[in-house]
Amino acid sequence: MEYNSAIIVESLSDADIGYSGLLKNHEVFETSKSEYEIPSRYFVDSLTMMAINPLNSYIYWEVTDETLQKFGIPSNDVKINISIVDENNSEISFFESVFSVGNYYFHHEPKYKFLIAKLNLKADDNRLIPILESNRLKLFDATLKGYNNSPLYGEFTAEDKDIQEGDEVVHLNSMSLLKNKNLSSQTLLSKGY
Amino acid sequence: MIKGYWIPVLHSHLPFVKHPQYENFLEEFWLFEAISECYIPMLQRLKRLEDENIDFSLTVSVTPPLAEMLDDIHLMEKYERYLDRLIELGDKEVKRTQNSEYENIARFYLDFFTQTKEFFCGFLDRKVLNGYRYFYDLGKLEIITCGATHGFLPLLSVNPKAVDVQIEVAVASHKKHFYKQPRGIWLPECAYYEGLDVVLKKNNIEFFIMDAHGLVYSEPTPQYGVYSPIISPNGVAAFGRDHQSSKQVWSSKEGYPGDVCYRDFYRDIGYDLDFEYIKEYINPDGHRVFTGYKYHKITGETDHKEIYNPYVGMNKTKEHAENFHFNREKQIDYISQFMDGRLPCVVSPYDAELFGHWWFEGVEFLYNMFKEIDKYKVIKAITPAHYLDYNPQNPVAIPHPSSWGDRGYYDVWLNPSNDWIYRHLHQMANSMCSYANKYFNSANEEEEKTLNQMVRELLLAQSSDWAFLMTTATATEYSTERTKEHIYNFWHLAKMVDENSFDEAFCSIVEEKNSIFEFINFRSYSSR
Repeated sequence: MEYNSAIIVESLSDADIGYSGLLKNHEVFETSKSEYEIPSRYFVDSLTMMAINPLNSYIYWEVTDETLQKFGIPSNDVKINISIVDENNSEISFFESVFSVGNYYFHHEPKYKFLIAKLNLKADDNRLIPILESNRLKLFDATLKGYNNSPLYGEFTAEDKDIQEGDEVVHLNSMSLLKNKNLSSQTLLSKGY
Repeated sequence: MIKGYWIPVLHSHLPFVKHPQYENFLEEFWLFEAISECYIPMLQRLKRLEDENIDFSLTVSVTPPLAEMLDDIHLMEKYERYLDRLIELGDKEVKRTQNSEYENIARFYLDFFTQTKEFFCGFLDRKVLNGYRYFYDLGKLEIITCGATHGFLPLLSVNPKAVDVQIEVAVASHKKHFYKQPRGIWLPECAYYEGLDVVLKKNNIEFFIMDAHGLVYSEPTPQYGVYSPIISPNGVAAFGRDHQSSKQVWSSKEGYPGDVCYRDFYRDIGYDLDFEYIKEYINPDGHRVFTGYKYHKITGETDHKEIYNPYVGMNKTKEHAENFHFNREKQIDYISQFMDGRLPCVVSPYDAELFGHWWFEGVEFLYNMFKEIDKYKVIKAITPAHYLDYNPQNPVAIPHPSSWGDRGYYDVWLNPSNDWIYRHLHQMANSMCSYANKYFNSANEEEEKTLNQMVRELLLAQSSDWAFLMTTATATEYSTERTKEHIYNFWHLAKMVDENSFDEAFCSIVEEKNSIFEFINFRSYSSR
């Protein structure tokens, strides 16, 4: 069933996405010494991915000394390669680390369905030894799905004869929506949407 | 004739804070302030509406930690002593300001806290939740639940059991405090991820609330935007936030609360008056706090603040309620032309603390809004449950992962200021599953008690408040310490179980302090 353009414009009008908890620049504050000692690591091999938003995700890992030893990697000379692959097993990104316990933020396009991370140890001869595979991370598709997956809105330009001086154009996620209640749904529909 | 529906939703939440070893603890003041400025004033207005035969319907989420605190005898006794101190302060203030321009406002607050105490001891019988139960049983208030400890579910879902238990315990807590199955849930921070509806359905939850983009980016795009709910693939309804009505109220720049005749939040005698005079009414360690005695109005963009007139402030809310009602009616008129005959619903969710705490006159605004609705009878205030009863058939769509946090996703709860917590939370959940499976049938009394306390510590560590406070850099130290405390307690208790050696003194302290959910059963974490 089709959706109505005007209703979608109305639903997203005044949309100041994010009400709770204004993000500042990420300041990490020093806190005074805690009375509670908590583990710095868990001695369990792990590789975990977590989505943050449509364009960014987070990954953390731990490789145990036992695993390093098994492959002859000294714990003070760790070289880790983490490869991120898409649903077709094509690598979209990779990074390296010298920490057996670590984390990383990475940016990606929203076009993939899901991602998986693969952790490899790098041997002295640069051979990659696969060790761990992460959970499957489904990405967010922040678009109007519509009918037949077609986008609803196109770009309006100032030359468009239906745009009057003083009309408010709302920019949302790189799409320009014409926000003017005087424009009837007929006008929107007549543009082919 | 009714043209459409207005669905107001107030989300009430505070993290579980209980420090029985201290008579005054700064973070317990959060609860006492919220009770005095928000929960009791709201209940007083609802009682007034009932007494005046004005129809109303309101949806309120009372999160499990908040419900536990509001039903906790120790905390309610402390609250009564807190009120007594404020009334005593009122007496002193009336004397101090006698014959000055501040005398009237001082008398106003003395009356305010005196009436608050009368309502607390009388109608509420010394338990704030009694008021909620009263209106819930009358069918005027729809109380919905929330995650057990307001855990940010998408980021906990790495171990699905962690989410299962957050919802299962939430429902059990709701039944314990309100004697009913909750029909709806306020997902913590409105945070949804694909597949969460399976867990909700399993726990007989019928609806939840999302931010607008969560609904609009659903698949397929909902036919009616946010003006009708959608039904998820597993049969749970999602209602979308209407931004227009939200912004009119919560925006401090464009919204009603910024009106110059309303009370200024920041000018409080706890900070303004001489330390020697005020010290008994703030934190004993000398940390100045708000007392609730705020004598000035917003006035304008100036440091000079004029004296607040509560009569003028409360009257202003009539004008704002009229305006809000007018706008809702016009909005509904406009939207209706695209709804194929279905009556649109405008869903307006807010943090409950906006009404009464941040915006002192906010509860009076709500009261006046219900009066406007009752006067004109062109829009009807209902709950999401009512809407589903009236309209059992709704468009089906897969809701879009989202939250109502800044930027619309999970950024606030996962960023460099707080990312360190997640490997701990995930490992604790994994371990809890192992313990639950191992000891399912074999736990002796000591082990059972300890394993149950481990679940409590895990749930408390999962509270999204800590990550939130780290991001907003308010109470960073406290939130970091709380997270570490629960992580430490969990592993310390786990070690006792592993070594079959139980430290009675330690267990006693943590069980009393972190006494939430006495019904908890560690077996919830098992895979059986």
